[in-house]
This record gives sequence, C-alpha cells and structure tokens, in this order.
Amino acid sequence: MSSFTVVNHPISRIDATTKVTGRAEFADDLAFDRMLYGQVLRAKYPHAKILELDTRKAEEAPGVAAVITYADISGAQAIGPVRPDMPIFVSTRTMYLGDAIAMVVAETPEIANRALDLIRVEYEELPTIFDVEEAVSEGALQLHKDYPGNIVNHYPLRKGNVEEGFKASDVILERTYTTQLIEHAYIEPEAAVAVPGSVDGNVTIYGSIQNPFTARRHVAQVLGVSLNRVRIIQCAMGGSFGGKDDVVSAVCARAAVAALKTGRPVKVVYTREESLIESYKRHPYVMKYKVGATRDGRLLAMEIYILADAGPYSSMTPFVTWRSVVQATGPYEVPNVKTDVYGVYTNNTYTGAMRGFGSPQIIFAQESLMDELAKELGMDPLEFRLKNAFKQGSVTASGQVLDEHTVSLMNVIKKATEAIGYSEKQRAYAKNKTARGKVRGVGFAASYRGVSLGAEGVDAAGALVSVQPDGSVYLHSGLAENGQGLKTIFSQIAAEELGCRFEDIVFMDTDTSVIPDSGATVASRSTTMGGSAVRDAAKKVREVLFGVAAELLNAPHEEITAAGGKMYVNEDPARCVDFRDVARAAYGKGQLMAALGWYQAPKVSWDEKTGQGKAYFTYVYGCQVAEVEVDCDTGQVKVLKVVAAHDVGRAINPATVEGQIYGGVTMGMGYGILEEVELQDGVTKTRNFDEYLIPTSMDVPEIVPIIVENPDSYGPYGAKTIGEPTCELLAPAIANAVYNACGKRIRRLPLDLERVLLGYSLRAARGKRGSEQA
Amino acid sequence: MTLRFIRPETVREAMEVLHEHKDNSKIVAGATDVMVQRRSEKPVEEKPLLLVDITGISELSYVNFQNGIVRIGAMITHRDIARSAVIHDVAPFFADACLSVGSPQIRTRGTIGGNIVNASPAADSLPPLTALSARLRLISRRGSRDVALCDFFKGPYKTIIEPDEILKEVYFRAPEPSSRCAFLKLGRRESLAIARLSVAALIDVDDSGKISKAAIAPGACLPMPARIAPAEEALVGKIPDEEVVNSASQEVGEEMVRVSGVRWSTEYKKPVACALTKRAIWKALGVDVD
Repeated sequence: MSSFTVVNHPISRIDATTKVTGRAEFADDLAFDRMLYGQVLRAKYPHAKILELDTRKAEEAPGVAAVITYADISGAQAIGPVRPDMPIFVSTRTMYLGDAIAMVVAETPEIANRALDLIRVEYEELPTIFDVEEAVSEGALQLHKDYPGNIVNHYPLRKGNVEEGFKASDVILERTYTTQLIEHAYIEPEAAVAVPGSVDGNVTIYGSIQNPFTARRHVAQVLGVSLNRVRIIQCAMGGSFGGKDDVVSAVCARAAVAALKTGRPVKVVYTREESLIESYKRHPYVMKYKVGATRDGRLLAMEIYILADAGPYSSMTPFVTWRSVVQATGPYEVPNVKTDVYGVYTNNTYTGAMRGFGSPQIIFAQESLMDELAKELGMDPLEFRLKNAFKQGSVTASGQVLDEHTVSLMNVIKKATEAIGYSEKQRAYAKNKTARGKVRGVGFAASYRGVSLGAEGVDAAGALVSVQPDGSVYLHSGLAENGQGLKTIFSQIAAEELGCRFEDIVFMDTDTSVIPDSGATVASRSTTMGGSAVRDAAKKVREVLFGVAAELLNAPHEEITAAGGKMYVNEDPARCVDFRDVARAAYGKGQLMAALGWYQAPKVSWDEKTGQGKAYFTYVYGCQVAEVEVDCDTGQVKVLKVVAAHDVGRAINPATVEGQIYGGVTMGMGYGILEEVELQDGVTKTRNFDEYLIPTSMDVPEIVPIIVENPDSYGPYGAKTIGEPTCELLAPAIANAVYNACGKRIRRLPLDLERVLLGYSLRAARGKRGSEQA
Repeated sequence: MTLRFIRPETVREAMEVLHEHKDNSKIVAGATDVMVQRRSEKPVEEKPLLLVDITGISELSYVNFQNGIVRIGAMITHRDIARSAVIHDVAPFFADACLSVGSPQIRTRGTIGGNIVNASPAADSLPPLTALSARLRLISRRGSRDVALCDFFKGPYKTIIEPDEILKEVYFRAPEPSSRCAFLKLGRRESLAIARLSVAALIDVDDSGKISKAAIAPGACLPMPARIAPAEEALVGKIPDEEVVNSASQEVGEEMVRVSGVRWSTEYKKPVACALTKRAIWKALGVDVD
C-alpha cells in the first residue's frame, strides 16, 4: 500500500480529454489577423554550389508579401546546439536535400506554394559523399574545411589493456553491426506562428516546439537581439520524440524573420513530405565489435569502433555519440575496454536527437553480440549474461563505481525472462530447425542507461508554484509537455507536496517569459530534474501555509501535515482545516504563496582524452523479451508478445509509466522490423507514411509491462527515468528471437521481409549507406 | 481555377458530363487513389480538371445474384463486399481480399469499380476476380460494351476504358458449389499494407479426388492480372499431393520471370510467390500448412 496520496497512483492524464475530444489547440489551429503563410523552397541537389538566386518574379506575384533569403538575416546565419553550422537559409552551397534556400510569404498557402516555382536557382552540382566508411577514408572529399577527415567528433575510451585482455581470452569474436536511418514520425509535422510584438523588434512565437528555451536562443541569435526580445509559448504537441528541436528552431527563426520583415504574423506548417525531407533523423551506425572471453564465460576485453552518420551538420551528434561511448559495452563488467566513436559528416539527411539518443544502435550491437558469444561458448544466453552483469559496486567501462543506487540489472532480467518462460521456450524453440513454414523464437536484451544529461552539460531546471487566494494553484515549468505526460506528473508532485486536491492544479503552457531557462526537455530528465524543482517550489509554499494552518489549528508548526485538500494535526487528524481556507487566511495576512523551485543535478565528471569519469549521477536498468513467429518461406517476422521490465526508481504515475512502455516497445518494434528512411544518393525516397512504414495498431503485440521500484537517492520520491529506456531494447530482442526461431543471425536493421529470407535487403532505393553485411 | 468538382446523381447525368468533358475529366470513385495522386500533381491553370464524383449514383450500388451470375455495381465498397452474404456464400476469397484492403477508412470509401479501373498490379480485389474469370460492363452515351477482366488491362495503371466511359459493373458466374477457394496476401505489416505478393486460388475436385478445375491468379508480381495457365494445367486431372502442388506452384514463379523479367525484387519474389501459391492451393483444398 502506497504511503502517498497522489504520487504513485495511476491518475488519468490531465490533457487526455482535450486531446481525444479534439479541443487541444495545436500550432496550426492558431489564427491571427492579417496572418501570412510561409512556404519553403529547398535544395534540388544534396551537394551543389548556388551560382545564382533570383527571387524577383516570386516577389512580384500577386498575393506574395515577401520572399525571405539569407540576405534578410541580420544576426547569425547558422545555428546548432554545439556548433553553429546549420544555415537558416543556404547562401552559397547546399549540403543535403533538405536545405532551405528561400521562403515565400503570401496571403494564402496556395499562393506561396505556386510562387516557389517562380524562384530561379542556378546550381553547379558538386561531388558527394554518402558512405561513412568512405568519408573517413584517405583522400575522401572533405565537406567542412575546419573538420579534416569529415570527423564531427571523436570520443575515445580506454580502460585496462585490451591487447592483454585478448591474449588471455580463450574465445575472440569479431562482428560488424549496422543500423538504419529512421524518422521520429510524430503525427503532427513541424508548425509555428511568429507574431511581431507591439514593441519594435519583439516577437512572440507559438509552435510545436519541444524545447522552448533552445528555440528562443536560436531565434534571438538569428534576429541578432537579446533573449528577452523573443518570447516562446509552447502549443499542444502532436509528438516529438526528440524531433522538434533544431529543425523547429529553424522553422521558428524563418517565421520570425518574415514576421519582422512584413510586420505581420507568419505561420509556417510543413506537409509530411517536407517534414520527412528536411527534419533530422536517428543516426545510422556502423559498429565493429571485437570481444574476448574465457572458456567459462567471463568477459575479458572489448574493442569497439563506431562510425555515426551525422549528415552535413553537427546538430546533436557530439552528445548522441557521447552517450554511445559511455554505454557501448552494455551493462557488463569488462576489465579491458578500448572504444572509439566518431561522428562523420556526409551529404545524407542530417541526424540528431531521437528517443534513445545513441543507445538503440549500440544496444542492438552489444546485445546481438552477447547472444553470439554465448553460442560460441556453448552457454545459455541468459546464464552468460548473468555471469557478467553489473551488480552492486560494479565498475563501468568509464571507471564509475555503481554504488550510489540499487543496481537492479539482474533483477529486471530475471523478472522479464521468467514472466515469458524464456529459458524453457528458448531451449524448445532452438531444437526446431525445420527452416520451413512458421517457427517461433524468443530473445531478450538488457541495458543500463544514464539518467538525464550526465557530463554532457549544464543540468538544472526550475518550476513555479503559485497558490491563489481561493486555494487553486498555478503550476509553471521550465521543462515542457511533449506528450510524455509531464503535466500530469508535475501536477501530481505539486499536489502531493502541497497537500491540495489534484484537480485544483492548473498546469500552464511553457512560456519563456515566465519561467527561468531550464534547459531542454530531453534525456528523459523531466521527472528527475523538473519534478525535483516542482517539489522544491511546492515545499517552500507549503511551509508558508503550514505556518498559517498552525495558527488556525492552534498547534505547533512542525506538527502540521497536509493531504487531499486538508491540513491537519499529525497526531489528531480530526483537528483539520480545508486547504482553501488556509489559502484564504494566508492571503488575508499578506503572505507570499508563490515560490520558484530549482534543482541542480549532482556533480558528474568526464575526461575527454581517456573516456573515464562519473558519467551520470544515477542509472536505470531494463530488460525486454520478445516472442516472435518467423515465416521461413516469406521472411515475415511477427512479434507475438513482449515483456518489458524497467526499474524506474519510483513510478510517480504507474499508468503513464505503462503508457511509456507500450509506446516505447512499439517504436522499438518499428526500428526492429519495419522502419527505414531510404535515401538514394542523398535523395529521400520515403516521403510519406505509405512508404515509410511504422507499426499500426494491428501490428502491436501483447505487451506486458513490469514496473520495478528501487527508490533513488536523487529524484523526487526516488523517481528516475522511463521515456527512453523503453524504446532501446526491442530491436535486438527481436533479432535474438529470430535467431532462436530459424538460426539466422541478422546484423543489420531492420529485419524486413527480404533481409530475413535472403540475408540482405533488396529494396530498390536501398544502399549507399555502408556496405550490406549479412 | 485549377479544379472543378461535380457529383452527378444518375448514370445518365454522369455520362452526359463525361461526354462533354472527355478531354479534361477524371472519375472519382471513392477518391482513395485520386486524392493521393493529386497531392503530387502541379495544377494546370489553363485546363482545369473536372472531377466527376460518381459515388452518389445509387443505381451503381448493388450486389445481385440471379441465374448463377453475381453482378456487383461499381460503387459497391470493399467494406460492402467484405460483409456481403452473397459473396461470402459464392466466393469467400473475394470477401477476404476486400477485407485485406488498407484500413477500415479506406475500405469504407474505396469502391470495387475504383480498384479495378485504377489498375494497380498490387490491387487486392483483382486476383480473386481474375480467378473467377470476371467480366466488366462499360457504359457511355455511345452505348455499352462487355469485356473480360483480363482483357481490360493494358499494363500497370493502364486500361482500355475510354474517357467518356464508366465502369458500370463487374460480374462473374458463381463457381460450382463443390469448388473451394483461398486468397493469401503478404504485406510488410498487418494493415494499411500494399500487397508485396498475393495469390488467389479457385479449385474444384471431382468425386474421384482429382482436380477438375483450377484457377490460379497471383497479385503484385505481374504487370497486370492474369491466370497462370501452366500452374493450372499442372493441377487439373491430378490427385493433389505434395509433388503436384509444388510443381504447380513453381510455375507461378517461372511465369512471373517470363512476363516481368528479372528485376531487383525477383530474387525475393520468385521463391515467395511459389511458397504463397503452394499455401493458397493447400488452403483451398482445406489443408492448413502453416
């Protein structure tokens, strides 16, 4: 039985009703007087010199208010979270097919669309590079003169001595694994409206914006104004999954430039085709693993070489690949490790943040490898993993001792595998080697994951709790609702801490003019970081209210407690006063009933040269098991059942934790068997959801979530993380299950019909992204 | 003005409109293909397209079964067919095929007439209709004509329909009550999936246990719908056993290569077409081989 009143309860999401009844306001629902519409002209070639750009005819077309190009930008021409290398509009050279060249702003979207044809661009095509291995080879075309070898970044990690480790090994295995380019597939494409302010040079932007503070910073840079001139208000989000960051900053910046040039509100809404062409994707990885172990199954050494395709712009590549270098060996004790992860520039669509953030790729490799090595050693995959799995006090590849939280890896592995009957099924299915008709298999994957940003950068967040004179509550947060359920979670924490009624809290849309910059809503950090800030704010207000309640109840301050809308004396709950009456009394006494809460993450560290340090202040552990049916005659893989066990520290809301698991498992399944953005020489072939296939409700298997709770010492009520760990495990679990079913080891995602039947892909447009290796 | 739209309520009215606008009109019969195609078309100002939506013509919505002939009006939707008692009774594989189309939304809007005239090589309704040796009735102000379904197509997305013609109905003789049928479809996912391959099989077995009639029609592997005569010949007159069914199935793969040539997808499609055909034949014969 939970000792909490609101927290740890499966409360319905507070935004559910407006969303399912269609009343939620999305950016495209907004309309302003005299509003104009922007349409973007994009590159014709992935790599070309722009010899001439003539917009005059388009500008003269009836109904066109302006044509915006690089020449209209007075501030920064390019933006980026790490390096400002992504142009808002290209001026001299296109680097990928999604590059924007100009934006027509007109009275209607149709007029703007037609005027795009009137813009004349003269190109000179340049040599291109689409393959990461080619890009890093000697004599390759150099895309950025400041980054020789097309290297965006390089992260080394050195632990022990791998040469000696391999020398002492009885078995050494070398394998290459490859993952594909995938799309976030948020249901609402990019959208924003920029409204010029009444004060000259001010602008307010409403939009489908994952990170309001990032968008504000980029827009201010492009406009060349201070941060307080730009106000960002987030609209209801039709999904993001890490996807509405850089690309949306660019959308906002273009809309803002156009709004200030025309003096009128400007709306920009992308079609699905535009979104698939321009927006960044998840990095494809080429991963070479060499692993050594003793005959009795003890891991001794791992050497890892990874190339991550960044496309032409650095975007989040340095952060994404950093998580990869930290976690590349998986949740196993390996005494000797040598890892090198490189981000590589190409002319493919650029890549950035996507749910998982550098983990789905390496987990596919490392968890496939663990099964392969177990087979080589003649060991059961489960027994082999448990032999090497992290336990309390284990040391990670980066030399971090895991002793500040409960290391529950073995626990989640056991829970998940037992729930599906893994061991018995694995043995039974392995015997069935007809290789004809439909056969079944089981497979699993396990992971550990650093919570929040870690040593990536500044990690702090704020929240504002404001109790009104009638006892109702406003809650503002610097971290934003992106569909993950943050509004509900934060409201639960505020209600728990204040002791007010849950329904008396109103969560306000994130507005950069109201709340301090809390960084980005990323890295599954909302509950841990933002939730702690909410708790801090609520505690401060509660102390004021307890003082007033103590007077009303004629009891000592320290004996007052609150829950469910009442404040009462701890030892004598009958002596109580309604929360609303306390608020009224406090207001009458002129007390401050609002407080800003703040939470700063515990200290972490990282040595860039050795890859050693305390990478994250805490970790979560997860395990997913898949049972599949493989049709040996057609290559079709059906996922029949998935069990997902995740340690979340504390489930603030068990229902939304389960929701995260259902969604993450489904995304993981898409990554595993269906999804791939196909580029042919840099040209996007999959431009809508008829060709870019994601799982439908008919494809989703039975999913059994198992919530494991080992309260953490940092997050609110011991809560840690759930968003991303749920979508990083299923692809390798499926690959392992397919092997168990039919004996085919597939080392490249996705496991589509052709690859499962033949061992390699046949799609017409496939290729030019690393060599196909079965 | 780049687009005009008209929604006639009678066949007569529709024929008049098409006659008058034969060089710039397009029939809309559910819009599940037309609207998708229009999304990528650049509108031409000088010659506005006239969309003639015939889904409001109630005289084209019927399923009749008289004198052994099933007649289906062109505006009958996939959903209607999937739920029709007559179709379930005489040709259940046709109902299965229509139920495998897209999603509930698409099945509710998309019509059998639209599916036929769109002439996609991957159309789900075409393999069973081909196996049933269906015929089509085309009408225009000039009169009416009947053609065999397999003579209607000229190639992928190409048919012999004239710009002033409307497909009125598709009809076929109900198979012998003793015959058995099956439709199998392989897609990349469970719904909203274009057929990667499909097969329709219609088979009759006589009292001696020999196959007396066989119609095998694959989908998504030939440029246009066709029965595979060599496969059918390999079955007729034989008592079905593994060897007979295997060799008949093999013919489907061979025919695919003969007609379509070796393409990028052949390496996959050839063995899978054979495997799917084998399953469809056994399923029609009442043997579950999964």
